[in-house]
Parts: sequence; structure tokens; C-alpha cells
Amino acid sequence: MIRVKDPVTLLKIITRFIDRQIGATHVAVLLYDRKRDAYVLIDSKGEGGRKIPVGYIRLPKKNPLIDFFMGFDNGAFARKEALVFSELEHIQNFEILVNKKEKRAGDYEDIRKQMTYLRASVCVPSFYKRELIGVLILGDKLSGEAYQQEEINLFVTLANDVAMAVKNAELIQDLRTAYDKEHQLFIRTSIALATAIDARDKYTHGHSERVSHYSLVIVKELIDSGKMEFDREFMEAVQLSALLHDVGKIGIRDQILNKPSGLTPEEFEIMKSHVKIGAEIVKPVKGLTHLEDGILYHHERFDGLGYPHGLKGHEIPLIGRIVNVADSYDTITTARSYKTAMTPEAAFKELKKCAGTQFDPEMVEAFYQAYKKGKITKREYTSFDFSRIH
Amino acid sequence: MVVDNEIDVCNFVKSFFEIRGFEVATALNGDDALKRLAHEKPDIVILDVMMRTEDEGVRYLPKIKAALPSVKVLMVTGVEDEKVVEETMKLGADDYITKPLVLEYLESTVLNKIKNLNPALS
Repeated sequence: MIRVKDPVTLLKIITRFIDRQIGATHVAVLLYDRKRDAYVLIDSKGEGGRKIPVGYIRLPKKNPLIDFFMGFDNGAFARKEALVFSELEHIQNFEILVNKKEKRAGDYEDIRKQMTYLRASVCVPSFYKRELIGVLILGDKLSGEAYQQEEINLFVTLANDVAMAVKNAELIQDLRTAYDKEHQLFIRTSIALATAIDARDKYTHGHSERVSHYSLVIVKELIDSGKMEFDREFMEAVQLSALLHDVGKIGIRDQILNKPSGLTPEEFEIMKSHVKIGAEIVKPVKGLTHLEDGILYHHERFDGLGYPHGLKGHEIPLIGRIVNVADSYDTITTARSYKTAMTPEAAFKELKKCAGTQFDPEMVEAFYQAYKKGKITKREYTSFDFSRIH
Repeated sequence: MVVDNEIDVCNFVKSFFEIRGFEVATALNGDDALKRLAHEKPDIVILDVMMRTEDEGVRYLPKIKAALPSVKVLMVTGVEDEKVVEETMKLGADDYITKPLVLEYLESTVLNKIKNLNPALS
């Protein structure tokens, strides 16, 4: 079997091959187009103005030629052999068809007409199981000779290989579409969840989305400066993990979450549990490794004095160290019930002061470099910019 | 008369209608069509919308109608664009057809448009 990524490329190779090797007046390929529910001419070669223009015509399913190959009963009586113009009159089984389906009485003339329109000497159906994928059309031989049976057999083989390649490409495309749909749904659900968390506290409006943006800025700077390399999946994990870093707050009582004054030690312990609750919430999400990291570890400190596990330095997973910096920066630069917003310059001063104790100095530095390059968007996020995920 | 910047289209449509006993002239652009109009005096012009520019057909439609008021004009569009269709109909097109087209439909539309002109064809 022939394997190519793009079946249309294969079709073009085959038409060119036939055009050159056989020397026909013209060669064309009709391919089933799902959107139009018709067979469309997608490739054509030919000499002396006998070429059929690509994209100009389409054959609906009820076209006699298509209908003939498909047979009746949804392809159960498909005709998989080639149709040769000069042999039209001698085709056996025509009568069987006519008998089984009365309205087919006019088939013979109709098909002769269709082949004349297409200037076809030979029409080769391209089947995948019972499905007619396309039709290969060949004009007369330039030499004037008739097509040999061996040549026609070769066309049938090629046509079936093409059908397989086309079908495979279609299946892959279907899978991709289904995956993209699921994926979008997952991302939008995550955004909805993050918005729900932020909505519980009027001071944290848009917080999760900003932290996600800042985290991505840090990752991109790490890549740009040549310090680290990440794949697409990791970048996505960073953004989603940052977006959901406070998801565990859903399990924290309002009296504690929105308490205007300082928390008691007991209350603080409860507040701290949001990282573990959050990690538990996303645990059932399979397939995206590291999603938990930004949630569980964003309150770990570089010096080991953070929570929940008191991890130190590079023991803290990278996403945790990134989200930690991004989260703190947003807290510093936005107003809270107990403080006013600080400028980015003042915020970076603060981050740098705590680099090595609270924060991973490398992350602070990357974030600062990105800031100097103007990579931090200051706009207010009203809704999550989906394009940033992709 | 078939007006299309693609010579393959001109040849293909020409031979399609010639098999049916029509006389068919071709032109590769609007100017060419206008030039040949007086001499050929076609019953119908099959005019492609997109030629040298993407609205050449639309621009030449009124000129063709003015040069030969009796002629029927069938527009051929590349995409189902309501605006283009609306505009061409306003400018006096008699009908339109969208690519990729069904040959039988092209045939019946053409026959339908000119059957009153030539009773022998109907």
C-alpha cells in the first residue's frame, strides 16, 4: 500500500505518472467532497486543450456514472471494475441491474453521455470497501491504440491504493477534529472554573487569568534566552496549571477566604489547605502531566520554608516555582482590602529582594527580563484570551 | 459565447455545447468579449465573475448588456457569495451558477434562458 501524508499529493503523482507513461489526451480525478456531497474534479492533466478544468465541474451522487459504480443498496452491488467506453455496449450484468431496479432502464445511454462529456475513454472507480471515494478518468491514448487489459488492471490497483490513502487521511482528520473539540471544551471548562474561583473574592477579579499570562511570559523568556527548552504540552500545562492554581479555594469557607483582617493560626492552616484541595480536584484530569504542579507547589518557598511540603530549591517542581513568582507579582500589583496596588517597578524590586529566599532567582530574573522587553501585557483581562493557549 | 480567462474552461464548455449542436464562440476576457459581441451576436453569454480581476465579470456585465441588449447573461461565480449574486442580478444578469457546477444544470439553465429566442431548440 502507498503511504503519503496528503492524499491529494498522491493523486497528483498518479495523474502525472499516467499522463507521462500512457500518453493519454487527458487524465482527470474526481474525488468525493464531503462538504458538497458530490464528486469534484480535483486534478487534471491534458494536452491540446482537451484538459477538463480543475474545480469547474462536480458530479452529484445521482449522476448516472456515479450511480452506476455505486450500484444499488448502498454499495452492496458496487461495480469495482473499470468502465471502458468502447465496451459499453457489451457490458454484461446491465440487464441484471435493470431488472432489479426498474428505473435504471436508461442507464446505458446516460453513461455513454456522461463519458462523452468527460471525454472519457476509461473510467476507473476508486473504492474503499463499499464506499466510492473517487473516479479516475482517462481520455483516449495519444497513439490511438486501445487500452490493454493489463493497463486497466494497473489503474484499478492504483485507484484502490488511492482510496485507501484518502480514507486514512480522512480518518486522521476526523480524529483530529474530535480531539480539538474535546480539548477546547476542556480549556473552556478550566477557564470557567478559574472565573468561578475569582468571583468569590472581589479583589481577585481576573487574578487567575493574569497569573496564567505571567507564567507563560516567564516560560517564553526561559526559552528565548536559551536557558531551557520546553515542548508544547509543557507550555500548555504551565498555562492551565497557573490558571487553576487557586482552584482549591473553592473548598475554603467564605468567612476565612474573605476575612478583612488577619487570620488566626487555625484559620491560616485551613487557608493553606487550598493547595492540597486544588491538587485533589485536578487529579482526575488524565493526560496532562504537571497540571498538578502549579496548584500543589505554588506556595513552596525556594528556602524550604513554604507549604505544603517545605520543599527546597530545585526539589520544587518548575511549574510551582514559576507560578509562585507570577502569583506574587499579581498580588503586589493589584489592590487588596488591606493594601493598595504597587507599580511594576516597585513589584520587581520586591521580587528581587526575595529572590533566593521566597523565589527561585532564575524565575525572577527571567520575568524581569521579559518585563524590560515589554512582554507583560498590562490590559485588564475580562475574558481569557483563548489564542494564548494555542 | 463563453467568457473565461481559463482557456481550458472555454474549450471544455465550448465542446460540451457543440456536441449538442450549438455554435459556440469564446473570449478570454471582458474586452475580448465586447469586441466579438457585435460580430458573433450570441443568444447567451456565459460570463465568469473572476477573471483578470476578481470582479471583471461584474464590471463587464453592464457593458455587454449595453452593447447587445437582447443577449442573455449567465454569470458563473466561484463561491456562493450573496453580495456578488445580488449585485449581478441588479446589473441585469439573467441567472447565475456556482462552481464547481453540475453540467446538466448548466445545460438546462442555458436552454431555459434561450428557449424563447429559438423555438426550434425547445
